[in-house]
Amino acid sequence: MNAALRSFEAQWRARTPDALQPIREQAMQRFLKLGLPVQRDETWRYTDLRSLAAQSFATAACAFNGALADEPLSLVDAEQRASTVVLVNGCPPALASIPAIDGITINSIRELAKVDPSFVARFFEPASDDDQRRWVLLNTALFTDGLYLKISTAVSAPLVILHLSSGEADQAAHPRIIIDVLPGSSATIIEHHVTRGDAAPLSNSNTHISLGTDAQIEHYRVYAAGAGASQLDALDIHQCARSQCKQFTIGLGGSFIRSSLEAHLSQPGASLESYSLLVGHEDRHLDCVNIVTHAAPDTRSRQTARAIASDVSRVIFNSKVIVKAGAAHSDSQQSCRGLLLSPEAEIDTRPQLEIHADEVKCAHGATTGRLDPDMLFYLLSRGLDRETAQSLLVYAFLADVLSGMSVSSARSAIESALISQLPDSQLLRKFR
Amino acid sequence: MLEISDLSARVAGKEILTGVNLKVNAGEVHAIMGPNGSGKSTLAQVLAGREDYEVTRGSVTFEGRDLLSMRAEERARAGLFLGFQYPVEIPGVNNVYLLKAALNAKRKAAGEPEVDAYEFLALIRQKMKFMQMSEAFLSRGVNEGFSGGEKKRNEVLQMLVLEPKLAILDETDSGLDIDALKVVSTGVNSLRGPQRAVVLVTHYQRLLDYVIPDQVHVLSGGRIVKSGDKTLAQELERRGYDWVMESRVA
Amino acid sequence: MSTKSQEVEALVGQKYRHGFVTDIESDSLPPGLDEGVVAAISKKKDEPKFLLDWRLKAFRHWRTMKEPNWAHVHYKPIDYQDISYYSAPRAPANAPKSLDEVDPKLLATYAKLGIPLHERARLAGVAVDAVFDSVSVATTFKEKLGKAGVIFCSFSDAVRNHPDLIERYLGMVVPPTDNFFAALNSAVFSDGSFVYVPAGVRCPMELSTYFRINAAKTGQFERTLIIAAEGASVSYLEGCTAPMRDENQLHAAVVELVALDDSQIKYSTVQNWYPGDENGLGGIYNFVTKRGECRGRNSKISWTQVETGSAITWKYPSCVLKGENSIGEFYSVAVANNYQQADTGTKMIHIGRNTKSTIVSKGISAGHAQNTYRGLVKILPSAAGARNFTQCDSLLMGPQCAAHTFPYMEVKNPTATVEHEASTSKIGEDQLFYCLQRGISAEDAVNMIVSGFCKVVFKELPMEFAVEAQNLLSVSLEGAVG
Repeated sequence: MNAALRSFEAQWRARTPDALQPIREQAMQRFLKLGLPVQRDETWRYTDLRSLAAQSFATAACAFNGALADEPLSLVDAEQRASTVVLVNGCPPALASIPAIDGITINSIRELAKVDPSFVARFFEPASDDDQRRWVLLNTALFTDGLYLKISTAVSAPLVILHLSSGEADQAAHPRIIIDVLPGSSATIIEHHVTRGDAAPLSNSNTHISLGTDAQIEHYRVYAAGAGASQLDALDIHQCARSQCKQFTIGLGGSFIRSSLEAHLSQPGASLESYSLLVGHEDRHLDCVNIVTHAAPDTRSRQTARAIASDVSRVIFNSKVIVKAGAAHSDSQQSCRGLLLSPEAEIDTRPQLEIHADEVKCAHGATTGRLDPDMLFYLLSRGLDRETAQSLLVYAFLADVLSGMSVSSARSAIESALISQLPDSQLLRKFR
Repeated sequence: MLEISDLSARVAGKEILTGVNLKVNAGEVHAIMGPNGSGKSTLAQVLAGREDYEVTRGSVTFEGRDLLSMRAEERARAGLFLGFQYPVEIPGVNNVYLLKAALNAKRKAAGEPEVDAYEFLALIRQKMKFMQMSEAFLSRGVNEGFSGGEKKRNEVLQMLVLEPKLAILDETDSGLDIDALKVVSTGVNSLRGPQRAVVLVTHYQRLLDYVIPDQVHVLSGGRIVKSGDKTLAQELERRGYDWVMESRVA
Repeated sequence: MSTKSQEVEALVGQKYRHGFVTDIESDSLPPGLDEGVVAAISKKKDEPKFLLDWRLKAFRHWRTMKEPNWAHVHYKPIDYQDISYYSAPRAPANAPKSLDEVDPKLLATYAKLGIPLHERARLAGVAVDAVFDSVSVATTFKEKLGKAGVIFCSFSDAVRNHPDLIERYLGMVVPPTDNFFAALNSAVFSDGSFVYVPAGVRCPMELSTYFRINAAKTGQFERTLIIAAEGASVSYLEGCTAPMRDENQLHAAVVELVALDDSQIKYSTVQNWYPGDENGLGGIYNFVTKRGECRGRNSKISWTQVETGSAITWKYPSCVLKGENSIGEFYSVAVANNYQQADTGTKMIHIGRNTKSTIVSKGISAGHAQNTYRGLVKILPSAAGARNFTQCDSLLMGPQCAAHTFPYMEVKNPTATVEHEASTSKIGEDQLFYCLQRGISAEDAVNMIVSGFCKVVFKELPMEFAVEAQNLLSVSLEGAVG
């Protein structure tokens, strides 16, 4: 047993049982049995966790002594700042301090579990051996508390959940969020991960989104931690009939990000659009796994991923579409493009299809390489200088993901943060 | 204005141009015709400075300067314009942005100030109207989702905005219906003037009904095998390219 | 729709046509595997010491290895002690010197298979090396090839007559430790084909080997080694069949190709091992390691395969592109029907500058079959200007079958371009309807559409094989419309 596993086990033994104990117990036993994933595990092929496994982790403290005002990256306009909920090292704020927002009820998961454990249990996945879910097991066992958000109408203003990591590098936090969008309701939720101070605890977060019939969500995950930070984040999406999910995963911070998304299109007419923008900068290691399961007829999914790797970074995009038997007329498309900007960077792509039904339309296209020489020549032949033409094409490369965002303040803040991590950022700013 | 002598070029190790000689003076319109695979498009691309086309022999001067030593963007700024046979789609790059960047690059090279936004928009609107294009094109990605005909119109629009000294139009007439052909021809004719020259690369004679050339050349096997006035094009239309080959042998 | 589906099912339910057993006395080792068996095989073949040592080393390594456990491939564990590792048709003390001396029953077997071994071979201009169970039976056209300097013989002959070449090249591309089945093969391989095309020689005819597993409870472990010296070129064809038996039989071959400067090797396979019956009983486990190395500049290796047989197919004909400007190609049609499982694809490892690879894979699934494409494209930092294009399409016929696509693209050089496209769809209703409306029967229509789907691969096959492949395909899919 490695040091990390031992320290997590010690934390497990030290904690006081709560109303979710049976679920936690199952998850922890499974986690201890399986251990941390290794590179032989299919979805961990390109990510080596050995140095992480050699560390011991303590539980990160909930308190934070500092001002929140100077966020490194603000994703919403000033007037929308009021609807920002801050979780420090995974610990939710006092409920009384959260501003009331029409149509959104916010609760503590632990408090809710005391009242109605079986209701809360619905939002926890059964313990599974799947290697991509290993860290979720740990989150389930160890999360201090989390937020349950109930959306019961059409909410137009975006709600920001700011995940703030602060403290020491040998600590771990396990933030947990449940977003329950009732039938016919809709919302825009932005989860924003940042760090404070030079050292940051390991963040191992999990978000569960449940979409009722005809429900809609636009959900953002923005990883903007400081250099040196490590982040593991998992998102589970369950979609009922005709529900629509638009999801953005933006990786532009931290040294190590492992981000996963598992979507279950469980009823007819459910539709998912997933956008991933993965920016490898300096020595960042960014490993993104998407698994989309079409489990009902007439379901639709679109995945768009753009990866850029510069310096000595490595970006991995691993996406799988599963069409279950009986999910006739499933329609899925994956487009994933990688741009390598440095001789020492690497991009690994795995666009996978696993099809168990015949009446389907599934396609994927993936490319990795340099800028398109035909496009470059076209721009040069119109008189643009080489640097401008190249920057313009890099910018255009990102546009497919950015243009899908409907929160314009988030889009422009993300764009700005992205550009600062690209070569020729001066030139790129001109195109905005 | 343009003087090509003994130009030979290779593409992917294969000799495509085998000694082209051509002189184009200011104020002239030349048509280069020829069967498929004769090297017409290669000639156009070589003149525009495509890097993967290797010039193995010969020289090209443009207004007295050594064209072959200039990079693609320098040629463009010096006033050489290529209308592409297959304009590439560049999703994410705005049409209007490209036009403005191209125009400013040219002005900067000429020591002129950048065009101001208001003036620029007025210019574009006027040219688009002339080309019978909808303004919706401006906010779309370069050539993105355009039909074949729309792409060709867009090429001519760019030409009108950039006002090149020498325009080389590579099969700009292909894929156009008769109405579009007229619009494109009007665009090309509007650029004609004593200070400018146009080289039309075309497979068919029908464009030449609308843009009357001063000289017609037949390219075959990588070189010009016959030159003449506009009646040569009509004769080609009637008798086919085989006739040129045969008459050469004879 | 439902009537059409039934027609599909009916079409698919076609019987295996090569499932006969030849009644020939054979000289077999009893089932079981230990160092003694490895030594016995080597002794039977009168091998030099280096080869025995090589086998034993491989065997010792194999014993330390675990059988791979693949996702999406399911089969009962193989009992390696219940397989006979050597089975040869009992022949007169001396090996046949010409076709006339070959047991007529054997020749009749080949005739039934439609192999152009004898007169037909001559007509077709094909030189054939036929491997029956584990032993190479006869090689035709030795003379004509000899004049050109081409060595084409059974592996055993090569060991006897060209031990220097064997010692130099054996295991160069697929080392004995490469994987579980390659290690097993290295320990117990009994025969196979050997080709050496000397510098500057364009092999004057297509070379061909037919493999057939006849004896019960035997495994076939042939080994093929093809070397194209500087400027040489060769096209090699391989065909496979096996009788119908209820138990599963193991086929674990190794094929190694070495291409030196400016040389070309084209390797085509039509694999029609017995796939098991419509309930998934019996059939061949086809666990094969095929790899080519473009060692020289401007060299080219092209794999073309049509896989219609076997209960389970596990093979990834691969190219290691070391030489500058070298080219690797992989064209594949894999048909899986009933309870067949096909897990096939390729690996293209780009090491040299300006190396190019093309992958075209067409998978067809029907019945309860599982058809998986698994492919790796790896661009190393040294492979400046490398290019890959991959096209991977799956066609599904019937609601119970499955098609999977698992590509890996690993790019470590910013001047490289890697492109991958894939699609999965049902056979086109509108295409089918169009054909029906023009008066074409459903069966013919399916054949036409499937052939169209596979055409880009078939056109890579040499003529004689293209026809055979086309026939096999329509046999495999008779009755199948969706």
